[in-house]
Amino acid sequence: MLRGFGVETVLTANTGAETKELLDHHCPDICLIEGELPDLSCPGLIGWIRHHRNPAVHFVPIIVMSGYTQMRLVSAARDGGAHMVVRKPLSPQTLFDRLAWVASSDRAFLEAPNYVGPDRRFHSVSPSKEELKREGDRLVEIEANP
Amino acid sequence: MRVRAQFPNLRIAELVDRFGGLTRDEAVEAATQLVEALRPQADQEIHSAVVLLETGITVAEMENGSDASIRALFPLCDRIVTVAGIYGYAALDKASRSLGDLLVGLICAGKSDIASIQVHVRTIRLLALNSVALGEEQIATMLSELAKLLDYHGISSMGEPTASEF
Repeated sequence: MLRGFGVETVLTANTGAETKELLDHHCPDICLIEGELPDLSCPGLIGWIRHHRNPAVHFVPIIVMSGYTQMRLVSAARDGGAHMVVRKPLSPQTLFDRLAWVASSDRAFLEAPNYVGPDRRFHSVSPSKEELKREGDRLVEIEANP
Repeated sequence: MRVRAQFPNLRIAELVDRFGGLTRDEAVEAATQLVEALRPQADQEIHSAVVLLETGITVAEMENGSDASIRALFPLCDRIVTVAGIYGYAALDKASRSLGDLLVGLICAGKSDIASIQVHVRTIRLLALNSVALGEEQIATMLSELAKLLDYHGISSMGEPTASEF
């Protein structure tokens, strides 16, 4: 799928150890990590990346791909410092949209004693309470729905 | 507690903003074609996962449905859900998803009903790659029987295949 999107270089690793070895020598633009790794926990690998000495690796956007039965991983991966968790199966449309979202969102990157990663507090919720609306907006709605 | 907030420049953000790349539709179309080219390997992947599931069931039976033997079926179930979902095998997708719901539900409830798992695996075997010619009505009946099993155990579905994210 990534090659179809025009990604020229795709580096793959089968284990957590291989991933660490790759990241010590390369700076990827994005990391897609399987929820289950044979030799390492996914949050453990994310934590290792988030404490990497190379800033390009340290800040790299991480998307975790969770299997259908691994939904318990969502909170663990989020707390480990991943940008997003997506559940497989992934269609090309879904993967493209998630990549585009991660690339274009302007979430702050936080470094705290017990957490390193993108800001987990973000919402895109529109105001719902009538009293929070501007007077002008209410007037337009009233005119549109007499 | 000190918290440092930064807004690093990401290369992927710069690449996305750069003019002249593929449009979304072009990129998705190219990716879909490449994925489609892998269908034979995907079919083989389903076949081998079903064989391993059947072996796993035998092991689970011998171990009287131990927690570990049921957990060992998780990745096999995930493999089938993933491939069936990507390649549009709708009935197989539903059956394997139902097996995933059942396995997680049984583990959470501390139960081990091998018979229910076996019914799911046999259904998956029948649905996998049209190994047996089945009509739509027969498939619907089989899937509704799987749903009854989940109801019997009081297990709810983990949902549709849309991406769950935060």
